[in-house]
Amino acid sequence: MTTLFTVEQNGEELWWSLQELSNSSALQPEFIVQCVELGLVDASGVQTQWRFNSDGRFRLQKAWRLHRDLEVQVSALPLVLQLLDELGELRQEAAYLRKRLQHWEQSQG
Amino acid sequence: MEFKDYYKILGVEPKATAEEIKKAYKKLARRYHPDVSKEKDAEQKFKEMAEAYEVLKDDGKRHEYDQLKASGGMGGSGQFRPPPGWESATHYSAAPGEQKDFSDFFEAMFGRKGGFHRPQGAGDQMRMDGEDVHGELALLLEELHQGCEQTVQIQVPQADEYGLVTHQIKKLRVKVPAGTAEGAVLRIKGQGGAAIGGGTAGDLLLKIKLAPHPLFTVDGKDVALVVPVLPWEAALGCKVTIPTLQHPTRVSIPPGSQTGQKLRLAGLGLPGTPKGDFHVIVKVVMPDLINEAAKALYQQLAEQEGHSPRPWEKQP
Repeated sequence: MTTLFTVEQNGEELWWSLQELSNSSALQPEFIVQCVELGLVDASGVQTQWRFNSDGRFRLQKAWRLHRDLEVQVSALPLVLQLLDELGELRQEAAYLRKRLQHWEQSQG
Repeated sequence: MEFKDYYKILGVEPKATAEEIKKAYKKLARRYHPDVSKEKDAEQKFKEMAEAYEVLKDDGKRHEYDQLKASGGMGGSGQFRPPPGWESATHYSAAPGEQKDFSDFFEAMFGRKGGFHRPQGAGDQMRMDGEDVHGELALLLEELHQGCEQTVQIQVPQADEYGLVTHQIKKLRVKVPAGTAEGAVLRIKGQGGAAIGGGTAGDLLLKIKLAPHPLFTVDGKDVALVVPVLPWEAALGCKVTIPTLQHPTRVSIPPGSQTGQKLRLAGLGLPGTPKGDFHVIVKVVMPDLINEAAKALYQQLAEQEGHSPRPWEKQP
């Protein structure tokens, strides 16, 4: 039997400073700074005030893996991530429409 | 353990140059990188090729590997066993936080997989909290609105007592509360990375995404539905039953409705304070097939009406 897990809404978003993020994720501060400058993740104010949420953290880690494993140039990362996001959305939409088409075909006998 | 043919994994000849190896790795990495690929077993394949490349890109490791391979590299049972007294001169060590999930075969050749080390004394226990695992969950508007149960499949890192990290697929059934908003983060305690040595297990954090809906569009808390009506329905008015987030609802399309005309059903949008509205957007459409009888009726209408919808044309 599968256990059903109840969830709690994460009312307070998790935040990391530049240093905390670097310490906890093996991302070099220089890499994070470059990504912020390129607009890959949002951060406002001076560096000591930067705060990254779980979304930003996830994005930066993905960017780092693409840079490390596929040698994607840092300057190309925002474009690559944007294209991957769009690809993901299109794949999801295509899968959903395929499912609907299947239902429709079944209902037509 | 099984002997791994790194050349075969990368699809290169044993005499391949460093340049050829790099090229082969790059080509395969683009295809199987887990952040890019949707191919089945992409992650496993990527791990294998990353391990193969880790060895073959390094002259020292490659030389050692070639020696083992040339010596047969097999025990009597057909399984690989390092020769007695084997010790690599090129121990692998990763930067902290950059541990790679390499195979037992790799470990037997080049040592432990990560930057962690075996505890020295019997009581020298290593304590480590599990990582939080982040994921996304795409749900339909109705599922967010009404709440739902979903099965989530995630990959969670697990470290053994030596700090060696492996990944395990975990399937969880989670209950998403009614009224959860897009972008909300749901936390499932203790279902992230496992802890070692009495540490605390990490949590699973699921970010809610709105899956594209075939009927509804969302703007803030307002929901909109385009309702196609036939020309005579638009002209004469009609009653149609439409789906909403709550229940099917019957609405009256007033006579003389035009494409783009909006009807507002107050409070039937997404929950909140105040509640969002539900907009019905009229779209006049022609039927796919017009038979001869209908054509004749249209002809009659054209002769009687004579009105042009184009302001630049002369009106009767």
